[in-house]
Amino acid sequence: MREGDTIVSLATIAGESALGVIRVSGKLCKTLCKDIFNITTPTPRTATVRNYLSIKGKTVDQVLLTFFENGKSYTGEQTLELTFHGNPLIANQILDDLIKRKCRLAEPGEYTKRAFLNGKIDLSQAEAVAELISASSEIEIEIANHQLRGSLSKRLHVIQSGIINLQAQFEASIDFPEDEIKEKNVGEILTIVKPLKSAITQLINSTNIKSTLSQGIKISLIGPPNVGKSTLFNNLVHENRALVSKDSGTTRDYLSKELNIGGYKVELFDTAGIRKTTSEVEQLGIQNSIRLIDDSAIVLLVFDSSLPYPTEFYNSIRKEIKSKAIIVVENKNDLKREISSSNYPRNSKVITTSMIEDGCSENIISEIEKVLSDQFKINPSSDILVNKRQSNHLVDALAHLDEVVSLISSSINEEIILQELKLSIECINSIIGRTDNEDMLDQLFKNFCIGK
Amino acid sequence: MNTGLKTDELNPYDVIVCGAGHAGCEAALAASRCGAEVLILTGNLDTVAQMSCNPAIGGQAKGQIVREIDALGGEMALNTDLSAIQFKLLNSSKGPAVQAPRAQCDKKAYQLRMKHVLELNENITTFQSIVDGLIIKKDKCVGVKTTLGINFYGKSIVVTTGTFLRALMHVGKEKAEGGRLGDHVAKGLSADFTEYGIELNRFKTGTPPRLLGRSINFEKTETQYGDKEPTKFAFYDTRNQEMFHVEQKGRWFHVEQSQPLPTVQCFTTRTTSQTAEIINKNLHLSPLYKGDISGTGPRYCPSVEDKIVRFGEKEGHRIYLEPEGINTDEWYVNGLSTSLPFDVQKDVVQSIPGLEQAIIIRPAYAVEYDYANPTQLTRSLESLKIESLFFAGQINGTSGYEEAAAQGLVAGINSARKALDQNPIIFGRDEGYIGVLIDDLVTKGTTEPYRMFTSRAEYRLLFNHTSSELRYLPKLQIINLVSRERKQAIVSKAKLINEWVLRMRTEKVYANDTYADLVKRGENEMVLPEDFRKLHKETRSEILYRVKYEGYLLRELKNIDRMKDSERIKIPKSFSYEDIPGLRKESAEKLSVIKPETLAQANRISGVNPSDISVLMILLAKSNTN
Repeated sequence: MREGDTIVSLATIAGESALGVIRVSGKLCKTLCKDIFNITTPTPRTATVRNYLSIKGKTVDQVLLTFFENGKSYTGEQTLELTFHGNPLIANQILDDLIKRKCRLAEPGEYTKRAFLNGKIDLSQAEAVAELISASSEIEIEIANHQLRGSLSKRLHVIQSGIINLQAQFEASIDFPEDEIKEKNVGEILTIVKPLKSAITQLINSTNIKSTLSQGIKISLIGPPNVGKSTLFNNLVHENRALVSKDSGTTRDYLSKELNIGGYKVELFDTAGIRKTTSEVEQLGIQNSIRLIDDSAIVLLVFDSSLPYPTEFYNSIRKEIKSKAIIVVENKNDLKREISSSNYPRNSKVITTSMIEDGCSENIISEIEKVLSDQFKINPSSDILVNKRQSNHLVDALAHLDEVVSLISSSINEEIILQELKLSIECINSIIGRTDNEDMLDQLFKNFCIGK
Repeated sequence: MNTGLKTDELNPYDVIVCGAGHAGCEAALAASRCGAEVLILTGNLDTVAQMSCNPAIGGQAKGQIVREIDALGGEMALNTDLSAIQFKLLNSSKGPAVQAPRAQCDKKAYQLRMKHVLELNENITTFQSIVDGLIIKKDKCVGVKTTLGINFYGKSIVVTTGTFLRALMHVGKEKAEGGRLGDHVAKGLSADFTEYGIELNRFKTGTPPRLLGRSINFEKTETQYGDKEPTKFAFYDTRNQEMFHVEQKGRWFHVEQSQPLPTVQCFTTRTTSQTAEIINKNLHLSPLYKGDISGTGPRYCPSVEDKIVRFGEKEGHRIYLEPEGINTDEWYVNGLSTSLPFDVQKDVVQSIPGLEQAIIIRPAYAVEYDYANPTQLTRSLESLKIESLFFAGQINGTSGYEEAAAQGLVAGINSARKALDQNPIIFGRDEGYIGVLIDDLVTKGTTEPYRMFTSRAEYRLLFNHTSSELRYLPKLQIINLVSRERKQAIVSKAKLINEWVLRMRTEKVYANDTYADLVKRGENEMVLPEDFRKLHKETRSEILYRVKYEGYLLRELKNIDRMKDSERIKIPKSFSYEDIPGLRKESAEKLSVIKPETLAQANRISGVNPSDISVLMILLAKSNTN
């Protein structure tokens, strides 16, 4: 129970919409106003427009924020409501940022529970609330059990019992100093911790795959202005969604459309062409384009092959595309070729086409399909994917194990190391349920002959 | 004031304690310190505070408990210090939080001194008589019946019957009734408990053979010396006149006698492959393996046959030889607990180097006894079924003198307070091992004889033995367990420590280093200010610990704060877990048996999950507002 925590969640549905709302409740709200928006004393119940500044100092979005003081909100606590542009990417970035700022994701029904505890809901609703909480957590348990009965639970139990075994080793030498417990040396302990750590890391890494798969794999069309990105977009989605004109800079904000490519849920983005500009609005669009690259699994770099290689454009995105799968689309091959391919990003696939002449994108689709099946090879029966909540706990567990490693190397007392081991066990407990000291004692008495 | 023996129902004692072992003695003394008039009944006055098993007090986690008992005005620590014949600080090479004092004691001296402490106490009447029944009126215990046919009446009754309830001893296939070799059995009480709905189960424990010293060839063994500088259990730096209360007033215990008794050595040897052979060959004769013993034994104190069966005999198992006293040549063989037949015991003993010619003067035996699962108690150790009836010690399924004494202290305080119409005193998990012990017992119960381990305490780092007095200061402020002078001395000590910790943290020594930096770097104490080095040893070590481990200790304090938040949400005694929407049935069943007193306690019950707790929290909030 962590009633004192500040909780956060998406109040609107996940997915694309015009606007989205994130709700924050708890004592950190005022601090957040100051840290994120530089508002020291927010006027209660008044909407204010501000840029959302992430903990790294980057602007995430322009949001509408409303602060509610103690006693005057739904939960009865300080509350902050943030209305942002309804893009799931922005929602995720804001949620992540708030978690980094010491908030945590709300449990199902938790806002209502707090509202009740703070006397904001009529008492006659108490039973209903109780049912609501148990119902939502039971559904959650059922869903969780489904996965837990399977491979994730098994793997976490293996990891946890590895940690408990190590704990038992240390505890035995502390609690039974006269029982000739053979102590392990630093090297031996590290060989036990290392595989535990990499097993956890592996699970954490699967989070990204999981959320990518369920939210849709993002593919963005990136390029200088007026190279035909929107035409390509319209072709790929088989409708005229994007506005097309001869003027460069027609696309100001990005557009997206969900597609099914080779069985994968894909979200295709048409973006504003990237160039130097003095127009503030266009500049914002360009920033969004660059940010989109970060979230994309595949980037389609679109060039006009009748023009020389756009060095300036490429330099402005070079850092972002470094680890991405790249498909270069040389458009306008009906015109005289000027571009030189010698500076294309390494390992990129190249397709030459003319959107106007061919009007067909079959070869591009099949190239995307190849890259997808390459990058997201999933075997549903053996691969484990953890969700965001689980991953957060695992990140914490890993941090405690890292601390164990550094403590062991500095030869600190066992009882301090044990505190870290216990904390890492608790983190895993948050996913698979409680273990208590008895489990450790079972291991201890199984492994060591105690009994002076 | 002691008015002598009273049997008048209309003029009851405040507290009657049934049993004068380690739990019973502390219970009677604590109750008397709380202002109660106490009657303590024992089946045998010659075995008051008898050490039935090993001749030592303290050890890992137990040593810390004894120091906490002293901090709360209990007797065990002083009694140990003044009857000890060897001191040893365990884990002295490890961190302060897991260092634990232990002492070998002269068993007879220990017993006699404790008996004399009882005798000299003006609020306590001692009487030899076996209790064999309870007097219950309207679900409330108002007195006890004895085998003499005399009834005694009390406002509170504390049961500390140890291993004596329906006790059955085993040596091979031989069985005899009795809670200890040469002692009686208590039968009537078990029947009464069962009749009033208190559930009983069976546990088993064992004790090794005792040998005649002059038949042991010590040259073939290894010597274990005690520490040159003893780590004592009592806090002498804050006590003054209390220190020698028996020694000053008693006829036999003079101040001169409180000079340390002569110190002794212990010895170690090992079992051999021959030992294993003998045991394996005769395993079928052990009542444990034949299935004659149904009670569960402790895993941390296995019989030698268990050790051989489960862990083999590669390098042999270590055996400790410990003297039972300075006026006797009886030796305790630690590590050789068994219930094999006597002739096999003889062979086992003689297969061990140094013991080839050893003569057994008391056989090893196992004892089975009734215990009442402590989940049937509140945190003041009062029965949930019968009002004014308190339980402490081995009857609660624990093992160990120290665990028993700690419970005796808690039951003594609370039985007195109940009799005097005062609120119960609850010991928290955040205060020390005593709190952990009580909370574990009443919340989780126990399926094997419960022994304290430091690993059971989530805030272990804060429970270093030298800090016991400071940790229980808030308790001493509300109950009169120590004299006013001593309380004042502890307050001053606490202040002194805080001032020094602050000074070390802020005062610069060299360019940019504070004293704290030097301490954390592990520099010699000589670099510290001279007036620091003049402080009492206990005070010094506490200051250094707090400075050196500051970060870790602060984290623990933070965790305690978090736990306390939910400890504040109380669950009324009358709270019904039936038909609560959203509460799972299995949780409801557990909760209604254990009857947790706070939400935090409910949360520690195994099998009760977070969604159950949420549901409870809401209904509690609702009933509080109504």
